[in-house]
Amino acid sequence: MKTSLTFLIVAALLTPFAAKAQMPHDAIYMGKKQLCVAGMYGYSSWNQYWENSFKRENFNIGTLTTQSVMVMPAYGISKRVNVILSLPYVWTSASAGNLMGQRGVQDISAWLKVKALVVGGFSLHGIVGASIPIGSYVPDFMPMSIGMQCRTATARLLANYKHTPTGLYVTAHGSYGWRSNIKIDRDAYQADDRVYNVNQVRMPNVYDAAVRLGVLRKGWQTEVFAERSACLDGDNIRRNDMPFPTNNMQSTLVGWYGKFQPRHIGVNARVGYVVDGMNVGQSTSYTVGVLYQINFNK
Amino acid sequence: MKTLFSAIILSSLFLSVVACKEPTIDEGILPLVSAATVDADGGAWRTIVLKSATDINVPQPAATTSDTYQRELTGIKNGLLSINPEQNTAVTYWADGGVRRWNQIARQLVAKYNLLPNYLTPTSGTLSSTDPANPMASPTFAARVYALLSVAQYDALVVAWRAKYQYNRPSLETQGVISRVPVLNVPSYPSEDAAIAEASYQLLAYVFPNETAWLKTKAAEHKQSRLWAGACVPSDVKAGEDLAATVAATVIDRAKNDRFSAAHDPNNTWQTGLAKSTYDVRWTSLENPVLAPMLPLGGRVRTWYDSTAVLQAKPSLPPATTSAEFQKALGEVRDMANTRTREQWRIASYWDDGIATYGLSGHWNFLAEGLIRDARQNELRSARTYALLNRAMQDGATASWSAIYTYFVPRPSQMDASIKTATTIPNYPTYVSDHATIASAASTVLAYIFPDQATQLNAQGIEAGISRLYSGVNYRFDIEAGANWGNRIGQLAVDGAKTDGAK
Repeated sequence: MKTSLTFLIVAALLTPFAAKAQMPHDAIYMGKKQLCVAGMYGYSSWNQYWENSFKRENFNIGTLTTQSVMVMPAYGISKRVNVILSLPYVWTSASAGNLMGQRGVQDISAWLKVKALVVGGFSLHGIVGASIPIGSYVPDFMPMSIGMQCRTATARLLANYKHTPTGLYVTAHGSYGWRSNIKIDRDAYQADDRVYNVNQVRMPNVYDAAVRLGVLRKGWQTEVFAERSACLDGDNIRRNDMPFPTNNMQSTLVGWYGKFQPRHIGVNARVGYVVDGMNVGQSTSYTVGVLYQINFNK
Repeated sequence: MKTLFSAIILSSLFLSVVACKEPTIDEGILPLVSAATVDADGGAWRTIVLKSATDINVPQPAATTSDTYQRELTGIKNGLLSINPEQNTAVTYWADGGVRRWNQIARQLVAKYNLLPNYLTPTSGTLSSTDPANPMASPTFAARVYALLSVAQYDALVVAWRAKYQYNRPSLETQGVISRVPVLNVPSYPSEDAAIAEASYQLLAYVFPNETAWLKTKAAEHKQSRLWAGACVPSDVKAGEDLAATVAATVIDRAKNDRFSAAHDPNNTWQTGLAKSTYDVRWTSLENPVLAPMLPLGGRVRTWYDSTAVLQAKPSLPPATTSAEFQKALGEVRDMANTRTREQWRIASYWDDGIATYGLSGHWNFLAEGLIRDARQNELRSARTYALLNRAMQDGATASWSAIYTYFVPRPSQMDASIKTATTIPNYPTYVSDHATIASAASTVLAYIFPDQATQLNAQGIEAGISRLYSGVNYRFDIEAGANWGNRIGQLAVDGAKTDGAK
């Protein structure tokens, strides 16, 4: 795969065609044997967070910033079955206090997206994903940790309606995410109002739901969205405690996403803002990406 | 084509659902163990707060031939047949070892209270205020909790052992009762479990008054579980409870006069101490907003071992910040922060025992728990191990606190703000490292009690100290001075242990 890739990337440089970068949460598909590689940079920061439901600042952290670069290839097995991979490198820093920022390769994830049903402008999609940690980062040094060291499996159902003449679309999805237990570098920890005398930590499972409204035309796309994600259970950050992986993290996020890809090269951008949450930072996030599409049919 | 896709999606979803088995935490259920020894001479072991076991008079029990006793015995025998599942769970839970269980409960409460209470946050007024009902389980507080608990348990058990072999009321096993769990083959009167339960409940309720009701329920369940188990009769429980209540009152009396209640320095005298420090740069809080240092008078708390011997080993002032020696030490911390490996980070995390944990002294209690279990120590011997360990650790904490608030040496990050840490920086001066002092006192004591594990224990003691260099919160000289001092204090405990009557 990798060896032929270099050759094909070169070949594809010469070939313009309709571009369609896509994500695990949209109804856009790569055509058969088409590959789109997105390189993205993300910047997210917060200076307030919810300690349980209490919103507070912490002058020993100041503003917490998380940045990432990510490579995200999407490949069309057929025009109705796509595979998406992503691998981010993440680094964190705090503007105040003395806690050391962390950096490293985080978790690799893979998604299989299937267009299961099409009726007129309506379509129904099944998406399954999984991720495994790649880096050996510290999972419980929160909020500086870059990840939680758990394996995940996600099942998502996505419905889309597209009004073809105008390109207007509305997308809704809901997902259930399973998360594995994790191991931490300690003999015991406090969670759920008790002490567990073991180094294994149960991670609450998660769900998410989102609606998106936008316009998708040949070469460009713009949308606004609202996303809700939360754990199914978990405990809350206690007063003046540090966050911990078992926390029931919940957030509601609104944002905008846009893409401009007139030919095989394009750009995308995303802005998100957490309007409400529990046990999470109230982050504002920006992502910009470069998209590059390759057609393996040639 | 469509059906193919549907099949793919359905099977994918199915597979993910299969993988979706909800994971749980398995702390493991270890088999119940029978103790290795009965220690029939235990009643003669040297007590700690009591002058001797004879201080407390345990009344003579009714003869086993009496009607009263026979009715009790019949009650236990009949009760064994009608145990419900919850009772059985309690029986198994407490049969693991009352001393160990109450130690776990203490660790849980320390973790629960090991948070900055709201009344200590800068927005809520004076910083050195206190609320005895809602204490902060800081390192010194935690070490004291474990010490008081295990001392009360130990003294109560010595008294119980003395009465057991004084009156020799036969165990229930010898009277044809088949208990539900292994029961130590010692005279049943007074019940050692009732003594442990009552002493532990009283002591923990004293240090965590808001938990009194919860602790009382635990103690009642513990005592009751021994009747359900067929280990003893109600008059055994009553006698154990009574003697332990007296012992607990004596230990609490000592606690009330150990000067800990003033350790938070209500009159802010620490500022005078700070001004008097002869070190060339003085400590300031790195917290934002600035917080008063933790328990400034914690170094004046009454020690368990000879205070002169404990405190005369206080190390002298470390090299001045202008010296090449200091600059080298600071450079070492800086290099560590910049090049910390994952393994060093693991060690820093493992021994951090910071906010929301049972503390470093709790960590050593956790480690001791495994050793005690493996050595199959009976309740009396377990309590002795914990009492030796925890007195040494509390004295280690007190000792390091006395140096910390004599010298007021600044943390590495105060001297160089670019030094970033792998754990939070404790809000008190750096010299000597309380971590190193407590850990080396602990490893010295445990290495004496468990000589087969001495090599490993000493390595753990050293690792716990050096972890603070790995995390970037202490200089190497803090750790070395603390470790030496801790060894001396541990040795005082070992010397005491050699002559306390236990073989």
